[in-house]
Amino acid sequence: MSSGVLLYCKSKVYIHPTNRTSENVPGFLIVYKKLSTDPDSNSIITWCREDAFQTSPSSRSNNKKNILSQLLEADLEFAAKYQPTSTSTKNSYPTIRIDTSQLLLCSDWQIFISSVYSIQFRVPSSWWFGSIVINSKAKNIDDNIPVLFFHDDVCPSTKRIQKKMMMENFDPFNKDQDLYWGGDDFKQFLTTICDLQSVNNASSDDASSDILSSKNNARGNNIYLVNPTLEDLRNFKSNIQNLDKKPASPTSKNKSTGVYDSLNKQKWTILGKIADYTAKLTTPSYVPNLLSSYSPVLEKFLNDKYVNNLLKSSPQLQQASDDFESARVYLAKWALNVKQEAEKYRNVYENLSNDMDNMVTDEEIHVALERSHPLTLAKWESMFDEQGRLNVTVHETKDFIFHGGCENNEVRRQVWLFLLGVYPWDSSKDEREQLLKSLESIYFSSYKNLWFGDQVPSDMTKEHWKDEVFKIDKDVKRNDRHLNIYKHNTETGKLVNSDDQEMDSEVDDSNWVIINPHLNTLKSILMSYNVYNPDLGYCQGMTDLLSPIYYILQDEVLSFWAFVNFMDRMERNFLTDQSGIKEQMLTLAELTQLMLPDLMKHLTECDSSNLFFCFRMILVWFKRDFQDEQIWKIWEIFWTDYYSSQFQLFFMLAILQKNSLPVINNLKSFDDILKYFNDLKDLDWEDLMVRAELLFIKFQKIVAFVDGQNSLISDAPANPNTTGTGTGAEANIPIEDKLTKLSLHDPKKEFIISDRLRTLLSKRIIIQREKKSF
Amino acid sequence: MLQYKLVLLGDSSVGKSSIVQRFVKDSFDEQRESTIGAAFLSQTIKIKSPNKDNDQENDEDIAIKFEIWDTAGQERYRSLAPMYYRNANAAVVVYDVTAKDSLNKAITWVDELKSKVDDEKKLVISLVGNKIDLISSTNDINESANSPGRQVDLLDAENFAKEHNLLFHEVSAKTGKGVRDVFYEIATLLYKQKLEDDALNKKDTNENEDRSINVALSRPSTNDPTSCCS
Repeated sequence: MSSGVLLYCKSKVYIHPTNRTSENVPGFLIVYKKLSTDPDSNSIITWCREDAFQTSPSSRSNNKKNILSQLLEADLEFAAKYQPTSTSTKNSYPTIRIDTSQLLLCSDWQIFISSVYSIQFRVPSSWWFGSIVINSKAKNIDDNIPVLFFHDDVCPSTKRIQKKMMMENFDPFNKDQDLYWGGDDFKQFLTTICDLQSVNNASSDDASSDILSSKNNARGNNIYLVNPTLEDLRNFKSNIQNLDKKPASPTSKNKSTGVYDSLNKQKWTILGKIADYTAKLTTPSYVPNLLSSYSPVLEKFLNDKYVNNLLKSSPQLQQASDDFESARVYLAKWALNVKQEAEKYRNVYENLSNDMDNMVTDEEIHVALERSHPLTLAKWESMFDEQGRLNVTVHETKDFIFHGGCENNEVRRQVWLFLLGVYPWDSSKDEREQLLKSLESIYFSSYKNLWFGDQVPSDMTKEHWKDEVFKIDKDVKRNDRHLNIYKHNTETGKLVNSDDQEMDSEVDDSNWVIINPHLNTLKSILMSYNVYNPDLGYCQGMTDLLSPIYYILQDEVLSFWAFVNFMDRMERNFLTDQSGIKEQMLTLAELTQLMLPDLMKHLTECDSSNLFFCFRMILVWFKRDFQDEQIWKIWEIFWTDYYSSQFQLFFMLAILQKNSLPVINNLKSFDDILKYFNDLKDLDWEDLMVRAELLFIKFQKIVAFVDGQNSLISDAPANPNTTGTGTGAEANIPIEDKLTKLSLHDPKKEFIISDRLRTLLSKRIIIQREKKSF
Repeated sequence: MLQYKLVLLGDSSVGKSSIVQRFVKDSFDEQRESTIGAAFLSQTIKIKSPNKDNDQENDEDIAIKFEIWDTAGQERYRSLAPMYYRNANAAVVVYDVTAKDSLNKAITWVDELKSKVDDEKKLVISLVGNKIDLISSTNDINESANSPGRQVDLLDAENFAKEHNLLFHEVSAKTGKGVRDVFYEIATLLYKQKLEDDALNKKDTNENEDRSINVALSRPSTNDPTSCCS
């Protein structure tokens, strides 16, 4: 007997081989896993007919009978774990041993979770059972997986859950409450073993379409991708949101590349597959016709190809058509929204393309704009194998983080340890546990224990150490005190009762003592860092860099090491001679000269060409210019070094670009400019990040082009006409024009990209150490 | 309206930002974050014209706008300070009366200003001892165990100020005591300077445009104090 573990089981899941209800076949939807030592062993979805367990009355079928009763029991057990409200928190499901060879015998088909591309969940309506459609990555398997129908009326586990929900939160006035159906608990179960990403509600973050997408979630036919790659998600998003407007977009006319076309085809193949299944059961195409006779508003929109297409594929039309009057209003609003969205999107493309002097492609803009797939906990966990080793490339992981950030602080807590180099990307779970132990012992034995309990570290004078501690203490006391964990100076860090409040206000004395545990930990970490890096010492701004790290990790040892690694790249900002920060300003100045020559000209006239006004933003990586949540996202993006280890300079460049016009038109002096950038408020960090990415791409292209041209000039100085054939033919001409326009070069003269600018293309972190010792 | 650039200098955590906040917003925040680079604020005040006997019209209040640069105090960033104090009309150099070393730092700031600013006589410097609320009223140095008490003697600081021709105040940003006076005194002095300049220039030339050009040349200020924009 080969044993395995039953992970999930649902009874009364039917297939409908024909149109006759009498021929419907009941069965079990099962997810199980073989017990094996192979870490890659994968969960399997299967479906078994009920009668497969009952066929022969012979003695050998005892096993089967046992399994049948096991399954029936399991069905109810799993149902007990269903939680109607929570989709994000993980339930612990019971694991039940099962004989997998018997399951295999009884099953109609099997598919590895890793082979599933997507699952469509179709909620029941008054005339149809709810059903799911499983699409596999390999095409030929699809034919073997029929649509599975959940017969909720006869399924004991579903009925039990429905009853339970009725008891717990019956609210006849809550129209928004979703009606539970059998597919819901399967979906919830799946989120515990893989990363499910909905592609229907991808636009739910747009305020204007809120009503629509929430309706869509509740009643629509939701398609979920299983463990999708970022590429999958991008394809799907563009499909639904902006593919149809492409032909209408003037900017895209002459720009379709071969790659783009094939990408298009890919998208349609995927959508087509799903549409096929949908067509089996629904015929929504009559709805627009019907509506056009009722709604003059809509008629206009129905002529729009984009709107029309969306109308046809709209799932809620089915429901809405029950009531013509409400459908009319609803659809009019919806169509208007869709139209506005489409236009908004079109404008964003055009504006960005213009701002980048048309040197970036629509596809590059699309990738930069597409930030709606943050790294979820499920996704993050799905990236690791059973030994806890990353099983996708670091590049792909960073792509996720760069283009979407972490979804919440739970993910962040794990991801940051990798981003900040505390854990190597290729480590296993065991290795990390080992590492943590040694990091912990080194932290205490080599650093913290050297000062703990009023000691002066052996290689420092008492006076110097006292001075450093004094500086740290002063800054920790006034660090991010608006954040909950740092707010109250009480032993728990929380405001417990009014006595504590007294303690809180004991700050009458400027030498008040820190008793808030979190502030104390910040102080400990900074003092230990002072021992770790005595040459640098404490500099103002370091608390700003540590505070978010500790806030997210909330662990002294981990935060210390994460901070140490962060400081590796930030040390150059704090050198006594300011050489590191000046070098960055020089780089930024050259970059601005290259990318935003008009702005640079004006800044020079204003005696501001040293870009001194960027000092604070670069020093502490914009910490003082954005909200805390935004800083977490900005920093984790910088930490990826996805394009450049100095991406902060491109972000700064994006800020400059966005403020170019007001600066050029209104500001005339050094002080004015300093003032202006010192008090920039309400910066849209996402827009800036999109621009930063596009500016990088543009910069990279300029460098590639200049290099290509220079090498051609030096290779064949006699024949400058051959310059056009260097890189991809379609890109050459516009860039050449552009470069001339930017007065970068006389086409016949060599233009050199300085070494300083070239460092921007490198992903390797630049480390500069303080040399002075006290 | 007259505009003047004023810069705050002094050791870290002596209360530069708190003094500005008290002056500009009349509020106090125990947990003010440290300043990085510099912060900018502005505040307009009205002072009485000093020579009211001359003319009825002059009896009106004079509006004076301060553009205040509040700098970071840590030694590490000292080399950046010239960026902020260049073209300043006034400087408030702050120390903490409960931290002895902070007066020494303040003295070095005064020296630096005197040596680096071209027109030393015109730069108005006010030496300000902050945090007098921390000194209990009954005592002198080191009396209470909880409080560090006064560490900088009032006379020492006052004498230094006199010797170097500085304005001098002891204040509390927390209670607000004395803060207003610091800025009103500076404003009055700056206005007096302006009147003197005007008088001088009138002798030189009768043309108004020339007058402003002269001043601009003597002090290449971006916030030319003589530019009237009201």
